[in-house]
Amino acid sequence: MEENMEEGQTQKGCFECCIKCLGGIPYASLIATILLYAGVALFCGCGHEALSGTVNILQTYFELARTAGDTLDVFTMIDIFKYVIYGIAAAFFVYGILLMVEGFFTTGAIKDLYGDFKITTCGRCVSAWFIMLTYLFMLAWLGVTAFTSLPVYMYFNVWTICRNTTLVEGANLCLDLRQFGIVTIGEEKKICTASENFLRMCESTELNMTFHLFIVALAGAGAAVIAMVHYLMVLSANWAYVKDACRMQKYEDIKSKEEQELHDIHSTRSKERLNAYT
Amino acid sequence: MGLLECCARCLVGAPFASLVATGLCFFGVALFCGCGHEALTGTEKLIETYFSKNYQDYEYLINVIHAFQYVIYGTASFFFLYGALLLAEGFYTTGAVRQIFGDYKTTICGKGLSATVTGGQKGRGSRGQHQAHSLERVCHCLGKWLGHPDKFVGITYALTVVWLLVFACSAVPVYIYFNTWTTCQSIAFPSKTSASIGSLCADARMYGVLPWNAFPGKVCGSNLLSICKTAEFQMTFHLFIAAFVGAAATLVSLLTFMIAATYNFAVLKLMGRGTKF
Repeated sequence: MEENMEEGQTQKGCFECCIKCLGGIPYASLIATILLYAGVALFCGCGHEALSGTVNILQTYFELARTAGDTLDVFTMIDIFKYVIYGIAAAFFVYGILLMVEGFFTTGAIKDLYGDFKITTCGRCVSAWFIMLTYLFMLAWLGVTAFTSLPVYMYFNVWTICRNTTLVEGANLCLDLRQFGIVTIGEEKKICTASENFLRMCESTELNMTFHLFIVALAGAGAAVIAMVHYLMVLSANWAYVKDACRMQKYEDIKSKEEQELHDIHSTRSKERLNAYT
Repeated sequence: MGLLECCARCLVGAPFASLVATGLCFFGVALFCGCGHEALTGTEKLIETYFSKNYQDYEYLINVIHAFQYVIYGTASFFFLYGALLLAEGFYTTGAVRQIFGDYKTTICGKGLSATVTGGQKGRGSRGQHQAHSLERVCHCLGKWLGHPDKFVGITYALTVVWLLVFACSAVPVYIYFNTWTTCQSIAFPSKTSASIGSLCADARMYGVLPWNAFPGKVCGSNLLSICKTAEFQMTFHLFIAAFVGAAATLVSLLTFMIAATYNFAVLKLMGRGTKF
């Protein structure tokens, strides 16, 4: 009889434990983390490959050579951008984990409001710090998004020129990279619609692939901004919960103390009455 | 004494985060729409005067510019109304939040407004059939509409996504003008470069502004330098920069709105849960 009862309690406890565990998952933080990882992966992966494709196009069709020395030419800039992309990927991988852990802990603390979790001033400071940091990261990603729209614009123009070549038969139109700011003013690197390099460039899949990779990188940057917005909303809601839960804890503590005092007073009076009777 | 206390009490209910966001929103939209409109007009004049002799070449561009200007009119009107609405929502929910904590004494209007947020009037008073003030009834209806921060967060979220595209696109004209200005600097100071001045050009066709059969379509050498020296070019360039900054400010204000509204929503939700214990 007792064994059956114990087994029943064990099963019931296990089930309740599962429910409690699932209740503590921060779904909003999960969605934001998935969106952040997707956005950063798209931006860094496609951006890296798009930059590599750009180097190939410049070397093959525009006959740009990598200059020796310390000059800051387009190839050096592209290398710098690649290293920045490596840094962004590593930094936001770690940051996503940090925010996910913070989401788990805060949601767990809120769900277990009257349990073992104690909300301290340190926890509130950490939450406020995360809000400020995420806000700064959001501003940075905004700049990255605006900056990423420029290569998309360049490739769109080049792609339009290729598509419209058949419309202007006979006219010799030239594409000058200096006007896009890609090469320095001293180098005159033109490619004209009548030349063989231009036709080969337009017919190759490399131009199309690089153009689409830049578009996906722009979409990835936009997704990262939206993920930061999600995080800001989640963090501000958690901040509100933590702040007010702290008040409720204080209220409950005071309430318990008052009840205890009342109980003590009542016991004392009972004893006094008992003594009086004796 | 009473007057000072009244002012202090009034200030306690002011939603400072929403006030900052509204100010930033109005400032950003005014900058974006005003400067963007004038910059587009300046661009139209530059194209007509220097880059093309034939009306048919830039007819399409003029139609596009006019379409953008009409969109700018619509955007300015919409954001003026929406900013005022968000500010009202901020005042309302902040007042409700502070009333819950007892930091704020409300009038009849405040009681009617807050009833929809805190779940309505409960207790013995609801049994009696008392006649409500007409003012309280109006505020009650208004509160049902304004007292939902989650709806405002959703709309502002959609606006943020749309405005993100606007912000990215507004970087493009700044880029075009910057490159043209850089080319002019090289023409003005030829010692920096070994290329001949005559081969330095600004080709509007290459930027996608004019079709490829436009004539002349581009301006080179000293002619380009004279264009850059005009006040019109300088003004248009700076106006596009200001429009870009305005788009960024608007985006930041929308995000600030969302943070404040989410915070208020969380507080109201938690307090609603708290009353059940």
